[in-house]
Amino acid sequence: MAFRKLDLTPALRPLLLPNETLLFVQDAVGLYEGRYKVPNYQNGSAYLTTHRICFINNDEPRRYSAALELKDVKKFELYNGFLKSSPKITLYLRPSDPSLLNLGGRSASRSPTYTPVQTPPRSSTPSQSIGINRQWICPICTFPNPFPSNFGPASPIPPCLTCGVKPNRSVLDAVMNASGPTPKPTSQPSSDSALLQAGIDRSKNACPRCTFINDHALRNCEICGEVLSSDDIDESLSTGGARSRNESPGPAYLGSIPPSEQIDSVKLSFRGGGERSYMEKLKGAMTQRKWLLEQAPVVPTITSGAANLTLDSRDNDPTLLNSTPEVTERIIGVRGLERQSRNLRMNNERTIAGAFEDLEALMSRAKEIIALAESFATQLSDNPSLANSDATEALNNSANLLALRPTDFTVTKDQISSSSSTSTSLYHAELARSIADFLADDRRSILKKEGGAITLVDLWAIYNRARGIELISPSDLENAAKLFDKLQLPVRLRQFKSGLLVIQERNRTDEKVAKSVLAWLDTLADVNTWDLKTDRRWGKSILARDAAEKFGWSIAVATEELEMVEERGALCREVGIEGVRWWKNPWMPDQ
Amino acid sequence: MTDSALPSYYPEFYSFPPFFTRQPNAASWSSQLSQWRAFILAYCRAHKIWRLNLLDALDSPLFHNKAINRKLPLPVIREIITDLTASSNAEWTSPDKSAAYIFWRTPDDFATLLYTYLDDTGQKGTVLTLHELTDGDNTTSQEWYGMEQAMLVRCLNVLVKRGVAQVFSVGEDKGVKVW
Repeated sequence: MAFRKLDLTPALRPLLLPNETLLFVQDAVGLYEGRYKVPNYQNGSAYLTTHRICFINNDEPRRYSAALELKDVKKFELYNGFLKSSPKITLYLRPSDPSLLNLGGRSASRSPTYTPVQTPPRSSTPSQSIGINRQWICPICTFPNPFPSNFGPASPIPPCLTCGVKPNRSVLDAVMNASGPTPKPTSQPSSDSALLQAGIDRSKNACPRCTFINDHALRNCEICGEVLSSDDIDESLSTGGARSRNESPGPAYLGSIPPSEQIDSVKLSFRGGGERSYMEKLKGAMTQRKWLLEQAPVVPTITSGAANLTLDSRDNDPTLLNSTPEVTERIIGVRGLERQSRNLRMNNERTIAGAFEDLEALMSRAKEIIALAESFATQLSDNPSLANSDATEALNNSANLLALRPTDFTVTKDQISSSSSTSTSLYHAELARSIADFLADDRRSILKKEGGAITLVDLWAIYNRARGIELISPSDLENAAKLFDKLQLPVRLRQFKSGLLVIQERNRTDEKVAKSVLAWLDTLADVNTWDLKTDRRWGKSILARDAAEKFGWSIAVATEELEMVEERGALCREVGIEGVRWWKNPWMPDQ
Repeated sequence: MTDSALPSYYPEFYSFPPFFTRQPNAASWSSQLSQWRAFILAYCRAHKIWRLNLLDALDSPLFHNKAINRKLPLPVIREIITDLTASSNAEWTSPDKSAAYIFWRTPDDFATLLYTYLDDTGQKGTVLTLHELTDGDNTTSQEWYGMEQAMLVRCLNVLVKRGVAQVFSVGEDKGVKVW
């Protein structure tokens, strides 16, 4: 099967493999297998990554999504579209994958939903349904012409495509009267082609056109490419229409293809345009072949460079004279440990020096540097003398930021085609998805740290910082955030009374917030009251900053949340010199 | 400080700091407002305050709880008094809203009280000066004792409207005759 299962992120984007990068996204794309539309895969987004083409259905992304590995693609071509036919990119699949062309497994499956692109009109001719794959051979030039799909006794005789001479009607009749896509010995042995076929020993899988005896497993003639057939296929063809499958179990059986059809290609139909940019990016990805990198030998690392250094310095440093070759052999005692750590330090130095030499190197060494930064960070936090210093925090932060793979969250405008009119909204939709992924990322747990809600301004700062390059504008962020609801993402945009915009988890409701605030107030009431003059029976009061501290909100969010709780009647306020104090509301009858 | 130290007409919310802040929540505010209304009327009645000068009252115990150091701001007081005027429990003395007559009973109730008193004491048909009614030796125990003349006229006008009294001027003073 050409399509593989595709894992999705919470924000319904394809889950990228390690080292995989997103290149391009185009919406309003439909999927074809061979010439047939695949049901349920007709309106979705096609993601192009360095490794795959991922299709995600717009309406039911979890059920209908699939990925096609670029390494399975032999070649691809662009079809520009004609009249109502949308532009398409055809991907020809590598037949080396044995499962790709194994039609036997699904030869019998023919669901009622299948719709051939060029369904022949149902006319009175009973034999026309089998005319799809047939050819008639021009008696003049022997060119195999396609058999006209709606050919009947009254229709005009088409000329040969090559020599332009109209054949004798009997030639076409002979083909039409044959009982299958591949003519068998017929009742009209008088015609030339029927006579020809009658002499072929069919048990040896001989080609009906050129008579070459092919291997049993082959579906096409090795010499002339004619479709071969065998009896079991014919049988399945004749009964296939009556059988049906209840439902596609999943991407493993994407569509139901008539058994006579050989699926060696997949088409992406660009109903909303954008095929050219997609094609270009696809070309780039196919040329780069990033997927090969996984198997490729590891790029020579810095360690080897460090080894050179130690070799050089060995002459000068007597302690290193005999150490280098034995580092791996034995390390004994304190001296051995010292030596080991010195070597390590030296390696690190080399790594850092090498990586920062130029930007190119930095990019390729990014992983090592991140690992280094992380190890430094842990070393620092382990070191008690530095434990509380600001430096630790700063370093931790920078390590955190570096540890983030920026590519995961980066959607840029040039990944979105500019040709389609909906490109800006598509860009925002993709941006919204990437932001949702960013927020949902476990390693950072931004929302958790922020108490479940983050203001748009803070998010903008954090998100742009994580991107590092290709920063987004505040208005783009706002527009993207407005799409959260429409895209059914796990976060949502919420506007407080004052107009403050925050992004919070979808499942976080006002009710829950109010409840937790009240519960917290109740526990506080047990503690000594802050103001001894105040009567104890009123409970304890809080400032917005107390709530911010307790729940991890920013002050702005805390104020808004408390006002929201006040709006619900659970809290009441007291405006004093130190700002607004919040109390449990005794006026509400239900409290 | 506990409530037991305060006279009974002080509401229990007097010690609740948010009581001195106007609540933005409509439901809370309506409860708060009714408590303030009741408190102002009870306070004025206890202290025999007929005319409430807002600026003077700001620092009085009515609007200033010294124990918890909370004050009701002037705009909120205005809002509450305005609400009182809507139910005839108060009346601005001047358009600048710096002072108000406080009717802890509505003029209608006072009029009924006056009529009952005059009826009980057999003074129907007699001409009485307003001064006699508000500051006379016979009325010291009556609720309207010490009432400002302007307020009394307001109450007597209710009787006039009912058709049982007549107000007329006797020299500089005003007189009333009830029948």
